[in-house]
Amino acid sequence: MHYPSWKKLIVFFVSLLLCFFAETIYVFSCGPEPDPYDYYTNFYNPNLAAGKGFEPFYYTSMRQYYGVDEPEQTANLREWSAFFSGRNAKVTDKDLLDFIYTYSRPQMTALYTSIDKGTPLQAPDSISNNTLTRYFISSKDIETLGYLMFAKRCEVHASIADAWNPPTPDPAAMMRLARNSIQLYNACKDPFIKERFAYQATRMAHFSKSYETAIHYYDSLAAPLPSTSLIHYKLLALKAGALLRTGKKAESVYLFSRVFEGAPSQRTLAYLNTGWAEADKKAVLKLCTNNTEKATVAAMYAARAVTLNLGGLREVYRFDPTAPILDVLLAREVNKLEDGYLQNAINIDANKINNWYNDNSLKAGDVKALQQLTDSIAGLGKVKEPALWQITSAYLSFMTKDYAGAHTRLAAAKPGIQRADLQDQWEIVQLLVNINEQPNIDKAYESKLLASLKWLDSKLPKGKESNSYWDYPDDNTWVNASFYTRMYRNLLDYIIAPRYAKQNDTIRLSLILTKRDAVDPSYFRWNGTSGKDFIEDSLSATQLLSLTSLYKSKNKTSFEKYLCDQLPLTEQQLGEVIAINYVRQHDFPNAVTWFKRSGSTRRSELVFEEQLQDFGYEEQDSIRHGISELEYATRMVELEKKMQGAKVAPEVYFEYATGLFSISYYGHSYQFSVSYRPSTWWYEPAHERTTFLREYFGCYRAEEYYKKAAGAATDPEFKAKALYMAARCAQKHAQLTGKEEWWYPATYKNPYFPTLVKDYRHTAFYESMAAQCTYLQDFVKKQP
Amino acid sequence: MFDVSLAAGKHTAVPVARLEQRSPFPAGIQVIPTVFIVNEVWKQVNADTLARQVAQLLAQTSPQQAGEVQIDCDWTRNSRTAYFAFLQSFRQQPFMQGKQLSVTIRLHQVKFLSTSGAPPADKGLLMCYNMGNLRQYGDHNSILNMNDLESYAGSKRIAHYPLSLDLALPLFRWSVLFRRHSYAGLLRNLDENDFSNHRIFSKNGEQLYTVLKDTVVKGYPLHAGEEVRYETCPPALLWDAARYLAKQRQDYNPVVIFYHLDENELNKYALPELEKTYRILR
Repeated sequence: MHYPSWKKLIVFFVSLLLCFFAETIYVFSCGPEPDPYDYYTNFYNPNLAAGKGFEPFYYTSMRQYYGVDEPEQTANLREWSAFFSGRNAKVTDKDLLDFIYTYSRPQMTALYTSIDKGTPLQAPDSISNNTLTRYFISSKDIETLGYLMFAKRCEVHASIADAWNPPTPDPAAMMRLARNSIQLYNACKDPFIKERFAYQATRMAHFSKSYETAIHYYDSLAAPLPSTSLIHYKLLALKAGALLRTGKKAESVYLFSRVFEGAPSQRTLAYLNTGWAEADKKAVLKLCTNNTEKATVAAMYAARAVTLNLGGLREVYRFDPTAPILDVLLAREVNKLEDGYLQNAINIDANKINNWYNDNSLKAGDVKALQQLTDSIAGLGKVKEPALWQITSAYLSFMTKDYAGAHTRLAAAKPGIQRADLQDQWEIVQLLVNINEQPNIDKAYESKLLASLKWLDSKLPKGKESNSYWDYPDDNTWVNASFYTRMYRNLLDYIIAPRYAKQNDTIRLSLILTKRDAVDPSYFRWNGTSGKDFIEDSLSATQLLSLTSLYKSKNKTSFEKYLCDQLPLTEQQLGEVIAINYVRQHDFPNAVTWFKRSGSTRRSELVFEEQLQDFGYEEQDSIRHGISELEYATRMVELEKKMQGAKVAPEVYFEYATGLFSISYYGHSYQFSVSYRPSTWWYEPAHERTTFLREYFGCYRAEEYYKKAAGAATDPEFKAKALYMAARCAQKHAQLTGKEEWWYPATYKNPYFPTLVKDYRHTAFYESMAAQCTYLQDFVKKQP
Repeated sequence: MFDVSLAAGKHTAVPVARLEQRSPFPAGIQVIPTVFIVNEVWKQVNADTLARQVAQLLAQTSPQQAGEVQIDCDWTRNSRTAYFAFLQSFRQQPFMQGKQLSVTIRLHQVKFLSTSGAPPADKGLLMCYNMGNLRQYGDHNSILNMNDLESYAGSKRIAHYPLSLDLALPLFRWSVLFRRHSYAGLLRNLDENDFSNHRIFSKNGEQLYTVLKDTVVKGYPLHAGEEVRYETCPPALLWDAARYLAKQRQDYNPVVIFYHLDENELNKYALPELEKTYRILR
């Protein structure tokens, strides 16, 4: 029996899926959601920038922000900690957080009173023993403590404790607090605390919607204080916001750009406000006092673009080649090219279907345009890391299959690499180019490849580490791990697996697919098969035997050993897969041999019960009794023997036919044929080319034996039933002409309906089916 | 009545976009309070707590006579467990005593029933619109088209869906702007009158128009060479969709909904045209 080669199978999958997905590719705006970090083929680390802190602005067109800002609480506590160290206070980080962020005003008041009056503190131990409490008691620093208490009073107006029961805003109270704050500011000695009083005053004015007042407070209270603290930037942001509300858009955005540059915990706030401001960029640039400031402004505008934006990149470079955000803008452009160009190119090469919405509107020319820019910037040497630009250029060469160009640029980059992440990206590009240049992945190259795969294994998250943003919504720790997982999986899935497919090496292919699943077990690709399912459902007997013998071999190469060691199937399970494969081919004697050798885990209760309707699948998990697949195959062998006799009982044919129908796509025991049976597939003419698929979807042999059963029988009830089942089989491979819908030939061109109606209309069986089967009813209605 | 989204710190769910009601609902009209929940919240919240919060806020703000409450959430396989737990808990809240719970169902959730699951509600509302690829360049109707509808609904997926389904059909239009075949945004408020200006637009397909010169149309700056795809819901298409849905009639008389009831849009239809759609479905 001929079995499909991988190529044909890919064509099957592709053509089948194309029919299914040709409509569906259209259809993704209302489909299952794509992973915003993994919806295109990515090999370039979005996190490659030397300067971190811009994670929200990495490229994804599916979300407003990629990562998160540094948490403000962290930044604030850092400054408080430095402040208290400066006062020789030994305050632990935990105590600092507890005191400032969780103690209530009454608790602080109690402490203040006890210090002020010199009485012992009445408080729970956790508060008395807090090292900040101890500091306040020993230092009597009531100016600082007083500030914290005052901040608590303002907090009520500045945040909503319970969004489900929000209080009504009280502008009058806010303004009273603002004026109070000014008095305290005036009386305050320490500049750190003074600035915070300025902040509270400005904030209360702003939240009471007195924007001109807020601006005035900033100018008179905050501006004179020389500071680059977090509070300085939060103050600046309040003034910027007030300017926005009073119509001074360009000034507002200019100040927000200062916040963006200086305060990592406030970047998304500054960016968001800049978006709302809609100020003319030129007007903002005019307000900048130097090129570094201009670079920041230009970058904030450039980072908004989800389409290719070389102009933005160029502009920031021209203003300041050393701006840290420049690397991030570069990565954005590269990722956009992966999304809009490489994704498509790679999918075509890999003979795969794109998964998600695909913006495939970018061309090779666009890649080259970016490359011209990266080459020239690298060459001019003004950027901090020319090597980054050279490696990027090399990757762009890879995208356009200019492997010689890639090598040149990689060589140029090598000496200048000073960071591990950059070295890793260099290795990745090198690997991609080398694999693609190899005419064949042969044993010699495989030993080199093994080293690379082991290196990539070391980059995967360990133990409980996760690579998913779902697990770490608060920080950016997952970003790198997620990149390496994704990139490694893409390498296996889109670069290496297709090469083995082209080489017709199905064994290697199936091993690579299982390795891919091991690298990223959570990856959900709804039009893809797992490696294990591929092995179980799609390999021929010969291929399975080769795989098993490789698995058992004591003479494996290191590469082969590496792959076999991670195969998720034991030798027993492989043997069972071979047996199941024989069942699929209806080669029951060989199936029995292999089941006996390896075991038979799948069971069915209904496999020999005729199936008069197309539903009623067995829930494999709830099968308690029934027979094993070995017992099934044994029975089929018995039936085949009986069919060799001179006179064959009709029941023999019938049972055999039922055994065949039940393991078809439509049968309630399909698990005897395949593991993966999506409800959305059906017979296609293309299946005729492959023996297994022809039977699985077309039920030809089942039909043949139902027909024989009818022919051998004398009992009209039995004959009717057999003919009816033959009719059901015939429907499965109904051939459509023109714009026919399937039900038309299935009903009106069914070869068995005429006989059934003419000769068996009066049987009890017919009468009961006629009440249930709408095809039969429709057919009868059209009879004269 | 309001949406539920994640707070800025991203740890709690908060109500946003609350209905600011300036006058009472007209007497005699049955109002169904609806809450839209952003899928992202399920990562963070406790289902029981949220159920209580949503019910309490609804109790404070909904019209007294509401007999049905609808939850709108485009859940996914990842959020399915949390969302369904929320619905179970929500149904038990005092506010929901004696009220029906309906949930929105999108076409992809019908098609992929096994991974999406069917929510624990009294009934569903099948949203039969926005089924095409909005951002993909092409001459298709991403709001409503028969190919996509059939691809999702198949021949019996709606009929066999475990919940009774009310049906929502679209009654809106928009124009999709493309620049070099790349999605560039939505233009609202353009209509046939604008597109019939042959000095600005040349028809390029069933729904595609090419912009002939740089100009401003209804406040939108357009440039020569850009393309606009004008998507509408003409009565004939609504009837085709209705007939198709009617073939998968459940054992239930569905409420038929038009999204949305905008005066300008309604004026573009003759009443019998809308009535015919109803008749086909009920």
